[in-house]
Amino acid sequence: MISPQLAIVVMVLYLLLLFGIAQYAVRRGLEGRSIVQNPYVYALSLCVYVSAWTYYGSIGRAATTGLEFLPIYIGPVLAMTLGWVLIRKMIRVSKEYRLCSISDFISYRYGSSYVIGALVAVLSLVMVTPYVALQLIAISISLDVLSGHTLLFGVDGTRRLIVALLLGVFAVIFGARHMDPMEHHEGLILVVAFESVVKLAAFLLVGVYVVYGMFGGYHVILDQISQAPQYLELTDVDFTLWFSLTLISFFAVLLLPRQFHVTVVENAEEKQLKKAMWLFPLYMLLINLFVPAIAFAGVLLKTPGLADAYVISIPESHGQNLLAGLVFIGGFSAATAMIMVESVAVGGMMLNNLELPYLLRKIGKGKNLPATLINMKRLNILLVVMLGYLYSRLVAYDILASIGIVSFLAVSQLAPAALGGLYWKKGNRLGAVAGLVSGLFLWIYTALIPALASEGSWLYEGLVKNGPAGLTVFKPTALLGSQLDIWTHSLFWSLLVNASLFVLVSLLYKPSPEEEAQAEAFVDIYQGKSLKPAKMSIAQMGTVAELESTLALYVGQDRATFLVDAELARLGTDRETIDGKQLLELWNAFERVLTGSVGSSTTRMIVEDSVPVRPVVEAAVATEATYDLPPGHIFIVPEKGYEVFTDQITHGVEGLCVTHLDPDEVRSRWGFKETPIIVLGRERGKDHYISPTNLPLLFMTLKSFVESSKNSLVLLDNIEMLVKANQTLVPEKEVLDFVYEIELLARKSRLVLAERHEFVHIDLKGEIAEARELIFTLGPLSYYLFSVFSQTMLSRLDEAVKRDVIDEANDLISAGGFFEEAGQKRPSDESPEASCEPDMRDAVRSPSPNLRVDASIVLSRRAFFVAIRRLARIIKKHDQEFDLGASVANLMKSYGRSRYEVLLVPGTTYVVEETKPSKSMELYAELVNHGMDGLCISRYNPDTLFERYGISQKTVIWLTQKSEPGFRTVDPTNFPRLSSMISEFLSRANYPVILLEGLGYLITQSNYETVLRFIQSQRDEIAIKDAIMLVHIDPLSLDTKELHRLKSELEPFEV
Amino acid sequence: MALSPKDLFSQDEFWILLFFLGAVLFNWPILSLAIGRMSAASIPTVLAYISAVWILIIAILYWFDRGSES
Repeated sequence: MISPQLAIVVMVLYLLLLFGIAQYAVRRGLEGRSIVQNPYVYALSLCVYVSAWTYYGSIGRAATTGLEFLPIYIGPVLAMTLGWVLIRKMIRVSKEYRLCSISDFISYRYGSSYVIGALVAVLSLVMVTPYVALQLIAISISLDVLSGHTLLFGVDGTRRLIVALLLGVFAVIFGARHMDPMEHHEGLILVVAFESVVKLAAFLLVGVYVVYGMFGGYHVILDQISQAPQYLELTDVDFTLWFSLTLISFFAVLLLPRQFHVTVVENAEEKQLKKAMWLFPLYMLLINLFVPAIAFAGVLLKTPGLADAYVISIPESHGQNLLAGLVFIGGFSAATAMIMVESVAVGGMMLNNLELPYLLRKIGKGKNLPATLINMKRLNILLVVMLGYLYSRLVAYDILASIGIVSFLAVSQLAPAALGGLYWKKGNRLGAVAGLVSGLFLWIYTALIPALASEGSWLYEGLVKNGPAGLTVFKPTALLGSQLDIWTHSLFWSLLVNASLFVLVSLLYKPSPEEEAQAEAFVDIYQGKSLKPAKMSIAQMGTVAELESTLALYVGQDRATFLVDAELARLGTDRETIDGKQLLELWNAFERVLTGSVGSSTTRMIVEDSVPVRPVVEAAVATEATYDLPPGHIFIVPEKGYEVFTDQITHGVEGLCVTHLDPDEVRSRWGFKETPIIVLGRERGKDHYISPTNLPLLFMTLKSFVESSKNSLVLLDNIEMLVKANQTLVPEKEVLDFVYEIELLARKSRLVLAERHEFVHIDLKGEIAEARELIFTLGPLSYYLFSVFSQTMLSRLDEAVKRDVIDEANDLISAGGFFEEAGQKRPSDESPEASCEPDMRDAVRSPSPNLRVDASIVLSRRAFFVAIRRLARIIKKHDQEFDLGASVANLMKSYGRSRYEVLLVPGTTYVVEETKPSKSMELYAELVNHGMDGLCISRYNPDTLFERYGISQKTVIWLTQKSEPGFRTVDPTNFPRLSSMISEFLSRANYPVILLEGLGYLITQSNYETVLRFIQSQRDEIAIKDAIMLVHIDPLSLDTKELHRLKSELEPFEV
Repeated sequence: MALSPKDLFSQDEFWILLFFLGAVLFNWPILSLAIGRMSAASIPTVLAYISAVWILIIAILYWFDRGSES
């Protein structure tokens, strides 16, 4: 027996030792020689799993229920067999998205859901409070054994309070040093690893003493216990309970906040896991090696007091005070490690998922937010420990002993959402919420309440004993009359309902595109499907300075500057030369840093708050809208752009006005108030100003607006000014990219362009004209496009060949035989080089040093490809290896064109030979999906074509003798009807492609000569109308002569 | 051609199989075969059996670690 004061002194000295160890680890980390990156330290830190509950409780359970202490360790051993599959994936995902707690992990998977984050945080706090209490009581009991139950300073519970405060302060010092939880807690982790060694050493020492010092061998104890009346009971197993305990401990070792923290958050590199996968089970084996022996020895020796305390009371009662003191330190280590890591993990969760979202809304962006956040985190850690202390004062130990299992059961409720979400893409936010809420409720009802309700209490009598209002069918421990032990019963019902609702609700509701993208990135993490900025609707763009100042609000100015500079260096750029794509990546990194600092759901709120322009509905007027602008289209409105825009936004459409005019003038003239205005200029004012040369920022702002609105309209006044502003500043390709991306964006919105007549190359019939392909419609863009393509084609040639090609092309250009149609030229005074000398003009505006192209040339889509093919033919004459399709494939793709379009010459009928028409169908589908107008004449059912190739049923004429409602059909013998349908299509199509499939069927139904005549006539029609026709033939269905005659009429095409 | 252990370890299915085999060996009905019997050295068979399976798992996981290091 030692004095209580001495025991306290020993504890303080031990904590000081830990403090020294932690400081050493921190210093090593700062010197760049991190000790916690050692895989053995990592593996030992995982052994925080062995808390005081397991340290003392295992002996207690072994002494009373026999082998049932084992499943608590078998579950984690089995979990390690899935380490390289499951835990590594958790680590990979968390590192990729800087997820710093189990609540972040789950909420991020479901679209950074605030509700899910808050639910998990609340569940964790509820679960951890009694668990911390259990640790404090365990220390208290072991102190009682060691030094007798005496009052310190005359007040009961003082020792426990001192212990709680000491541990709380220690956790604050080493668990909340900075706001970025993704930075490793070097001190904390080394301390935890050290404590794992201490508790194992203490346990092994006492085991050796009891087994060999007191009994003379393991077999002696087993021999003696086998004679004891309770032997059979002690070696028997309740298999149902055994399985349940194995399962919940499997979940616990993966999902307990402290386990997630040490295993996932503190993991420095994935290969550390390999060592932990065998070291952790080995540790579990060693720490259990003497558990049966000590427990049976306690029974044989009839040791007084709680069975849980045998490990300390046996040596103490035999005068081995030093050994008892060591065991006490071991137990103290188990408790302190658990309390420190758990309070740090849960304290962080509370801050990120419960407090920050509220704080951000209430107090906004305060001046010293980083300091506020770190102080709140410290308070949370203390709160977790003190709540545990208060709880330990209220509840007796015998109730608390089962709290360990109750906590494990609680954490099992996270499994469907966490582990299901890791592998099942269809699992969504609503499903996860439904599962978690139901699981939480059933856990409280079937586990927590029965565990807390002591016999004779009103809770026990009124609910647990007979069910609510005497309804035994709802008895918390026997729902629907099920006869299971309390833990299996709770696990069965809670997980059954939880998992079922998770799956069912997920299947019933479709997630948002953003959540879908997040789910895909999460599940397919090994396929490198990280979230692309383009898929992240929350990604907003700003200047680097704007980004840095936002980040500084949460992590401090110095750290924000450091992080931004580091990321810029990684991207190989700097603040001045950063391009749009790099800016996107920088924002992506910014979101990850914020997620690591304040959690995923809070980050979502912060980023959403920084949306520069929000969709707003103006006060509606009573009249009907004057103009009808269907969504998904681009309208060119030269004179009445603002009138049309105002008409729409005062009739329920959410508008965004992008203008070069004074915003106040625009508002006062057109009378709208709420609708956001972006001014194309460099000044700063209350409206959002974007420099006309910052095209990436302008595009991302428009994108964020369009994606956050369901009924939007963008007025852009105008592209001509943007083109001029960028004329000598950015490459032509960047302007083209911007215009093309705007065109794509318009498909999700409505785009009104207030352009001058002179800038547009289509006939503007009426006040509003619809435009389809802006790069062939506006100003110098078609010239830009030819410039970009020709440069790419010529870039692959060596200098001598290139010179010959350019000379020949220039001759053709001079002779007027290169560009098929010059189109309407822009007025010469608009041309920037108009005032230049002719030679200077070439130097300024030619797409390559010597290719002489008039910069004011306007090319239609057809004329553009004709010119490209002519250039390709010239190149081919000089370089036989040249492959047009391959050389421009990437460019074609980047402007949404099929790579085949450049190879297929308008006015030509091609034959595609193949047994089944799959390649023909794919070619047709690709051309139509890339902007051509299509007509497919086929023997196949249109539904089948849609299913197999995505060919729209509306573009298909079905060759059949049956008339099917809902489909366009034609009798295979009715050639006049077929011809008229083709003529009708060609007369209205802008850029037509026709696929004729089913030739064999047509021949069967009539005869070869008739079909050949039909094809010959259509071939002429195609040539006249500058269309493209693809005829599929199966070479095996025709004899050689027939095939030859048919092929002689058509051009072969290899797909 | 037979795969090397390294190739085996690189396949997710191997780990899933190991997990299920472990779960089966540690539970009913296999476990029930070891209950109530006393082995020669007075050690209850169930304890010896559980320890053996446990050690086997550690050995496989150790082999994986060592194999990937080499």
